[in-house]
Amino acid sequence: MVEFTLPKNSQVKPGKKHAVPPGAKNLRTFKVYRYDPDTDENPRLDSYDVDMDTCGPMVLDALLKIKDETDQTLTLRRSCREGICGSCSMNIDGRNTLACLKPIEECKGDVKVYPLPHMPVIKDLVPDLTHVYAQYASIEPWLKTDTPAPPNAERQQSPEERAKLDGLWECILCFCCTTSCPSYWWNGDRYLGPAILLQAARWINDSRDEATGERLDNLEDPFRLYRCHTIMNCTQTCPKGLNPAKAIADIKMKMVERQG
Amino acid sequence: MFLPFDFAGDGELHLIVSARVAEDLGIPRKDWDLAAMSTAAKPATTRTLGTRALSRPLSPHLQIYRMPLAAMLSIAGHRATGIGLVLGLLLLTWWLTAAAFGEPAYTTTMAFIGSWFGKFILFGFSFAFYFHLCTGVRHLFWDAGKGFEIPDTQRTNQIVIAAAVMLTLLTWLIV
Amino acid sequence: MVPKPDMLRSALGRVRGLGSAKEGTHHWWQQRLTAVALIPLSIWLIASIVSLSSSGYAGFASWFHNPIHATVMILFLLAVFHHAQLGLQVVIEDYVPNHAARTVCVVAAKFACIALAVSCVVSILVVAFKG
Ligand code: HEM
Ligand code: SF4
Ligand code: SF4
Ligand code: FES
Repeated sequence: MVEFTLPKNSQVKPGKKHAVPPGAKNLRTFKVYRYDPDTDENPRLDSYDVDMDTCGPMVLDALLKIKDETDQTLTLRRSCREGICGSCSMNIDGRNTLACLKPIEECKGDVKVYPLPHMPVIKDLVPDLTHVYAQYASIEPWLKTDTPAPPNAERQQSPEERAKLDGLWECILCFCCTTSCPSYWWNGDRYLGPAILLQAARWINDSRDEATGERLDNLEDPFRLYRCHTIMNCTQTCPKGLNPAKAIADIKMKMVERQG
Repeated sequence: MFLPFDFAGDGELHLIVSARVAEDLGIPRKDWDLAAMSTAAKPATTRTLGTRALSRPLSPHLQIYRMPLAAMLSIAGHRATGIGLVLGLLLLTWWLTAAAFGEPAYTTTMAFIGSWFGKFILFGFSFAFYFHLCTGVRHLFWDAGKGFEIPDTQRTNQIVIAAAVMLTLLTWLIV
Repeated sequence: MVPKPDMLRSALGRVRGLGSAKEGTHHWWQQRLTAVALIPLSIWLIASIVSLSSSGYAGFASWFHNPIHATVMILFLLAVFHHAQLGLQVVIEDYVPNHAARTVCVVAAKFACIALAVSCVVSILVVAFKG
């Protein structure tokens, strides 16, 4: 059976409670997953009280405030702080989202912050994305053509053809969707997961691409594609409001269409 | 599970095992990171092997994910009822084969099915059936590319549950 | 994803693995077709069970003496066991990661479904043809 529980080395132990900032009146408690690869210890859940009167509105603001003022060892990825780089994806209040787009106000009770689910953790909130990036490489995310481009001009696409890429090109590869998908949890070694399949759809739907059939061939597999059971966690959680489940359904319809 | 290999280039065979196995074997975690061990010994000839990855913990998943209703309906709903209905097929097979064996066998089977326990099981199967039917029809709409927006899903969640309950009650009122 | 013992293989090599099976659409399509067929067939079955629940053996036998009833029942049985077998395969593939164990389970489920389906069909035929 697949393992529904966490391995022994991954079970989360109670962690440190950091001191309340002096003089603060408007406190929120943040419970943050911590893992230090340089010790032999299991991951733990540390607790920080943050003064909301001097903190920005988003969960990322609070995490950076903690890092600046309370605990410099807290490790996380972030870059743009405006939901476009996809670095700060994590599990907040039980759902995957971007810390920079998640208002603290929307969280109920203590704000629980974990790394993206069912991933190997490098440190604290930083998951190892090697495998999912390799999955991305495997769909060959670039334009493939045999016809040479017209001299001194771009390959042409009508506005209608271009519109087919809407809802697909906006993906920032944050992997909130992929790591929310139970099918990916149990079979992520072979199942490509919603983010990569949405990307595959982005190239399959590109009218300029000449490798559509080859792309479908590479996806037609009980595990790579058909582990999707339309559980819909992906669409529910995408912080960019995209719809990977629908993109996957479109691929499945194309698979049927080319059969006859 | 084991892959003995001289990947540290130090003339010794090392084992590559999963974190779980290393733990079961009682290998201290600091020794799991062969890249660090071997670099100190032979900096020029060793590559970073990424063996540190073996000791990485797995982040929590089922333990922490707040499952949306749609996911519950899919896994605890459609899937569980599908498996339940397979058990129902065993009962169906018993019923039909008993009839083929003749009246006495058929009467025995019907006595069981007609008992309170039999009726209880049948009630369970009937609900599982209607639930699977309703979520199944929604699946077919999804497969046709319809009803994927989040508000659609939230509405069909309610419809599926209500329809399954009503169809079950209606059936038992007729009986 | 728990790291696997083939850590020395490149990540892309592992993802490409044995390549795509170029299969799966047929299974998926059959699951949908049997599902569509089962909507009317299974509602018909429920209605028959409700009407047969109080009529005893004689009622059961005379119901299936009608060739239309026997035919629809057999169609239901073929569709439902095919559908169940396809569904069980997916569930097993999801939860049994070891290839050998998975194959054994899938084959066992298929054989069991075939055996049950045949015994049900034979039973209906026996009742239908018995005087
Ligand atoms: C009456 C007996 C039935 C049995 C024993 C049965 C059994 C199953 C099983 C075991 C599965 C696999 C569950 C999974 O993959 O999670 C399944 C899937 C499915 N069933 Fe049924 N089923 C029955 C009737 C129906 C009916 C009447 C419909 C009509 C709409 C239906 C629609 C579906 C669909 C669409 C799937 C695929 C779901 C997916 O891809 O995840 N089933 N069924
Ligand atoms: S719809 Fe498919 S990809 Fe999305 S969460 Fe469900 S199984 Fe995963
Ligand atoms: S589809 Fe949405 S959730 Fe998934 S990787 Fe792209 S932006 Fe992130
Ligand atoms: S920091 Fe760039 S998406 Fe959040």
